Amino acid sequence: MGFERNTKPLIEADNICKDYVSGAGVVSALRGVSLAIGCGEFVAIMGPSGSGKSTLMNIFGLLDRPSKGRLIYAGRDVSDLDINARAAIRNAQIGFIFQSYNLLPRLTALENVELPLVYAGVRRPERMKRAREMLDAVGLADRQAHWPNQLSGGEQQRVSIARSMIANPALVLADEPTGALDSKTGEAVIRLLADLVASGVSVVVVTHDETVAAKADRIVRMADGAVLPHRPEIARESATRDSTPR
Amino acid sequence: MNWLETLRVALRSIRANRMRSALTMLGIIIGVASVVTMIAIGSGARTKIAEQIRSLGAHVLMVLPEASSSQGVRQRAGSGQSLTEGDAAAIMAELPAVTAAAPSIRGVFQIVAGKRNWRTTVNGTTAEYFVIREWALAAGRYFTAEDTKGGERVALIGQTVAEELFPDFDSPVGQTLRIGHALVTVVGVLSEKGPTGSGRDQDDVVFLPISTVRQRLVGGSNQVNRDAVAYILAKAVSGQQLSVAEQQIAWLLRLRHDLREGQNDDFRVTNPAATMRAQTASTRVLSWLLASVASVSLVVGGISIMNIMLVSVAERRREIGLRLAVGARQKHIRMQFLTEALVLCVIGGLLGLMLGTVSTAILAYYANWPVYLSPTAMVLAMVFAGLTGLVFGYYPARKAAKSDPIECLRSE
Repeated sequence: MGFERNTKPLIEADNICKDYVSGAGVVSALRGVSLAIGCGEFVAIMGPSGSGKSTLMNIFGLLDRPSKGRLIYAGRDVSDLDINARAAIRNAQIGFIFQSYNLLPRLTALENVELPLVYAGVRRPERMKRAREMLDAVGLADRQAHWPNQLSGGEQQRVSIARSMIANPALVLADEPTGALDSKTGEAVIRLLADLVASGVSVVVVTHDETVAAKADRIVRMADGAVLPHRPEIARESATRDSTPR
Repeated sequence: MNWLETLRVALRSIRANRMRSALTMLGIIIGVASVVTMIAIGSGARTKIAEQIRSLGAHVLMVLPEASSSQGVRQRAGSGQSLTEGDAAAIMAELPAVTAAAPSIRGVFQIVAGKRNWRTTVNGTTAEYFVIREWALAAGRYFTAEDTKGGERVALIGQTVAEELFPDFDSPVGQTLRIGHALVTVVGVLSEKGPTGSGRDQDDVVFLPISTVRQRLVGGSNQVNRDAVAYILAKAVSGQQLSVAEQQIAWLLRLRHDLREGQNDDFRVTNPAATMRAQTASTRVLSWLLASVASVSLVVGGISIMNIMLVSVAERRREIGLRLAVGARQKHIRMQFLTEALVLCVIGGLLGLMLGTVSTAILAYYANWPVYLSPTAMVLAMVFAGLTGLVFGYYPARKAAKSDPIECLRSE
């Protein structure tokens, strides 16, 4: 089952380069990255800071465009879409989870969860209903009317997970989702991400945390703007895990 | 995302920064209030002048005798005795451009009715006077040509006189007045005309047939010319014929007064409405000037809106970044900030309208200025406030919409 999921990529980076022009000259953040994420696959990207993993995440999230190479999403080349077309895909297909949660301080928990649906043009009663279900799913049914500053870090991250899920995305990108949390609340977050994967969503997580990475189907290691080749022991490890039915 | 949604977001963010929003609005409030007040003052002055022109009667000319002079010392205008009742009759009978003319002589007398008395102007004239001035009756009748011819002791009184002398009567018609030694009967009460431009009460007057005044009141003992009148009112057949009538009157009077070429006119034909209209024109210029000064403050208000919106955009970069990340299109962000600027201006505009109304009322009440707060001016001021919001809100909104989501999310 696990292998079958991996055979059909949801999103695929094909020899992607990303250069930034800075004062000193051109800086290459990505140097020819090729990486495919399967439907319903849980991938962890690891690497030291400056290795290009955030840049890759931005490109996977259609927040940024590659300087060179192609990005294929669901079989379609999306590298050259304009900013509004990319926003439309993000809105309907991609959920984001950030290390710093990024909840809007002047919206309640429920309204924060609703936000992607606001831009999808869903009407308010429907939005509220779905947002309640999402908050319920992350165990925050009693926190709907709370403001972000009234919630603990773990709770805020769960709200942001609910937000990332509400539009039924095919892909959820999590940038250091447990980075600001203690290990116990972090575990709860990881469990929610695992639930997402179980429901068929592809999840890509950037992390420094080996225990998070250990839960992933696959670990991609990056350095200096490139994906490192599979180390045999890791490949073996994840293969074993993959074949274990869950 | 519909407009209602956008409006709610805008209102929320305005409420979240109450103090800042209030300060931002202040410029718009003051701007709109001053525009409204200035327009109210300007159109008040114009309305008043228009009313005065109307109260004068349509296309009326006034003929005055030229100032008399004795041994080189000139007296005040109208002091001459060159105009006569005969002139008035001739103007009316012979000139095609003139429909009616009425001579008038005046004097101030103590008037007694029963136990009350009142000092006022007595105006001796003919029945045409009321036609020319289009002065309606409130009660009774006008005096007739026969009354004038016969020197009948009949009187028409103005509203003020009626109130002063006959406060307890339903109608003063049929009552007797004593003016000097003459007893006259009130045959009619004139409708209200209101004050003149210079503030004189036009209703504080008694009209008698001119012949009656001559026979019973002024006697003419001190006059060189027994037939002299203080002024003649003439009505042109139409507005276009006014200047023709003016020329014809001048020509006829020169002829009747035996003036040779080179001799100066011993009379003056004036067009009071034209004088008032000239006054209107200068008032209009002044009120436009005031309104444009006021709209400068509206522009200054607009600049403060732009300033604050730019600050707001800079402060809310994370919010913009997040909204973009979860799928807001550029137009959504643009609309959000534009709506915010517009709402600030509209609220400021409404408050300014209130302030303007209050300050207009204060000016009207305490300074006794004629003001007129037209609905058009109010709508116009609001439209201007809204436009200010759109114009000065556009740049910050566009800037917000063009933000890069990654940079925004990364910012603090």
